[in-house]
Amino acid sequence: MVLSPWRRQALPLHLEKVGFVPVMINRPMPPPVGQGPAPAPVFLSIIQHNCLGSWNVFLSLFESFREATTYPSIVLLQDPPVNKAHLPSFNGFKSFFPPVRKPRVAAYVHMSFLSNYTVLPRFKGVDDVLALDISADDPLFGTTFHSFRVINAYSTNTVDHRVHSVSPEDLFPDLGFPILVLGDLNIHNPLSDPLRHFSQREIASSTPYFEKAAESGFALLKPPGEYTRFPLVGNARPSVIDLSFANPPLLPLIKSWEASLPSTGSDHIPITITLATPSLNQKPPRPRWADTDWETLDPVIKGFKVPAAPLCPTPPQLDEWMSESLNRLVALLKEHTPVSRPSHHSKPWWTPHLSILRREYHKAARTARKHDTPHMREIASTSKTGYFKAIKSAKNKHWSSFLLTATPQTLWTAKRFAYGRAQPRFPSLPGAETPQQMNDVLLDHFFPPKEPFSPPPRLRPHGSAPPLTTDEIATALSKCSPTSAPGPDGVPYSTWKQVNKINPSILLQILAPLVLLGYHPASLKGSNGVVLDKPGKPSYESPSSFRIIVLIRTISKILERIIAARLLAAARLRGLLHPNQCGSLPGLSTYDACLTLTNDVKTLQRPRLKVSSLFLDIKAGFDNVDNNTLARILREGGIPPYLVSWVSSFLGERSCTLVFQGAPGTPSPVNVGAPQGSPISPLLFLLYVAPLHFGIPRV
Amino acid sequence: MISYVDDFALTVASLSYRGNIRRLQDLFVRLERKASRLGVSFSVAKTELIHWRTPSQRHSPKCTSPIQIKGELFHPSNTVRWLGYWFTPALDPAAHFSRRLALAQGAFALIRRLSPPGAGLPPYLCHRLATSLVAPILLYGADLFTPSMGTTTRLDTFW
Repeated sequence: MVLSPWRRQALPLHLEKVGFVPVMINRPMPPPVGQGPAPAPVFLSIIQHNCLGSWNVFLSLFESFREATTYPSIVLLQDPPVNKAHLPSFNGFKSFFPPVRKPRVAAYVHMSFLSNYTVLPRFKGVDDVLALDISADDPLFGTTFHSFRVINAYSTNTVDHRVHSVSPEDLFPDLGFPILVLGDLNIHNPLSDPLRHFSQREIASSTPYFEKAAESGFALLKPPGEYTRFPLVGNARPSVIDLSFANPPLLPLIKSWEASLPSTGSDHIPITITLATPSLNQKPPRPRWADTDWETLDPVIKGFKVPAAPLCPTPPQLDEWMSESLNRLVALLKEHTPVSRPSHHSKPWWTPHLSILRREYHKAARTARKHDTPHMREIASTSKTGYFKAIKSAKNKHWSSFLLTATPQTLWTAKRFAYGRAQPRFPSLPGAETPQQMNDVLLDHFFPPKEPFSPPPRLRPHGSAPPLTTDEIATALSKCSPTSAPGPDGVPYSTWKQVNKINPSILLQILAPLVLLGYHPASLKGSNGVVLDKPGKPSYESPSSFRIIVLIRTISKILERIIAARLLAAARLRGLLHPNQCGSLPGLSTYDACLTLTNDVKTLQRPRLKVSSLFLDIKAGFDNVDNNTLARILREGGIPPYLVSWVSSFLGERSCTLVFQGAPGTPSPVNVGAPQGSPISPLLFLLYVAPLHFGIPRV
Repeated sequence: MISYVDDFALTVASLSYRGNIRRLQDLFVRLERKASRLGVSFSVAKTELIHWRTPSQRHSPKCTSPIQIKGELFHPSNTVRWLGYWFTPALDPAAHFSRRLALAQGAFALIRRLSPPGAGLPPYLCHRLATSLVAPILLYGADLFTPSMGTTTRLDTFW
């Protein structure tokens, strides 16, 4: 850490005693660690800005990114605009803010950054501090650290002049991994602004912060003497209150601190902090399945040959055959499908006229700052008002014309806009600090461990299995919604429909051996478990406030539909389902259940009997389906052996990757329960609980 | 016993409500034993009890005896929501429709927001939104309950 001679002189004596040392940045980057030629550097840029609670400032800031070559990865805002506990959205960014009525800090993270790293937001139950824990599977920045933390704070002393809302202990934690602390701290100190005279009160209130920073090893990232706030009104002096600190593990990775973005209308200037590239392993972009080039693909699909399935394979042999056939097919489809790119047209209402007005306003604001005369200030103020009014009218005009020209297809978009988005809730579980711990707590809740299922050593074709037909596949596909969320491979139903239309033998050859052998291969059992919050819960600190929807690969769901149809027919034939069981069965809905109930009540009341009903609910039903018990019920019920063996194989040895904000994204083996989201799960559950009905009198 | 996936309704009849409670308690114990063999259990906190009445029993005294399940007492409810239908002891359709009406009014407010006077969505799209958004909310349960004259008027007039 080098300190320039003039800077050392400017330090007052008592602050040097504290041991606080400001760091000079704009230093050269450390040489890249690793072998081979270094790829083009993609730096991590973080923007810090106080929005003054203004929507226009927010928009100006985000619009100004368009002129830059790349979007910033993280935008940290203090005093963001809030309307009814909602923050504005901007395409391409996901927002995080404390779950309170009026959050005073917010973070916007770019989607491409989110797809490559795990971002876990942390709220301490207060409205003015927000921490983001950023982690990845590989070590970050070429160091040994797997995660780093960014803390965004808005500390004010409006209630009591002596006390700031964020304490030094909250701001500068003593942790061993890289931490970046930034925010509008509203503290004045010669260390951050050496050229100004400070009152005793200002120094007294700010010293604890610098003392704690020095104690935890944090250093200030800011060239001395650069102001960050220029008051819009009155004769108040410019000041340095937007501060940023880094701790020793992060310091060598800081590349620059700049105030290069144009003014936004706020009295604070937007600050850009650039860090070294956290990780060079970028995930591949997602394919745009809607734009697959089917014309070129048509002859290729027609000539595609599925490798012959092994006759009496062991389970690993069949798994290998399945994954090889599927991977070849999916790779072929991906070859002819373009990949998605971030769009630059994020605000459809933006007009070229607004760009001109923004440029004019920035020019006037710069001039007014340089030559501070009443005339210049007035010009700046007029152009600012004109620019912001133009934004408002452009938005109104766009919304009215959008509604006027709405079509039945865009009608539901309008409804979605009018409803607004629900405030996102993130799991915050006591005792679970790291993403992996949270993942484990949620997994234990959703999939309580049970006795594992062991597959047979060698699979043999079942003589009782009727061969799969193309008609069965076509019927199953016709019931699949094209908008249904795809599983881990991302291939939607529409792609399989098109493949089946061009060459119906492909899906037949892939799926037929699985039906014949009564086996569900491992490559189809991987799933994404999306963790959703149950609405209206008083607290979200327990795993029971969340539920899980399992997204399975679409090709697996086609097979599940086929088996479900066969299993239902077999179960009805053998009377395994009770006539009083409704739901998830064709022709038996909630109406039928309620009609039966009221009919029973009225019939019993006729001979002047007193009638009572008790309503019960099975706790976490789908998750508690036990594989071995279900197999026994099916076997004893006379279900064909190939279906029993397929169901056991389908439920056993599954793997699930939990998806929630901040999830580590590692697949974990799960051994219990019917996956919620699979077309066959409701039927399996009905068959599982059918014994409850039998033996209980009709009424 | 009737069930809809994991929601169960046990109905019993006898000469007295107290007799019903005893029979329900017995049935619950039998069910619980069967369920534990399957490795599933009932969530006791969500249990609800209702004593049905005919319209002619309107003025007769109500039974308030609770049922004891797993050591917890559950008093008979005046309204039970099961599968989106609201049931009252006398199967009063107004109790169901007044709640559906409140939900439908919330959805209707949305259409009004999207079509302010002189602007907004074209009328045919407003009609489409109303038929696909408001009508299903309003009419859910109309297959089971027959609304009274007053309820029908309220259902008809708010939009």
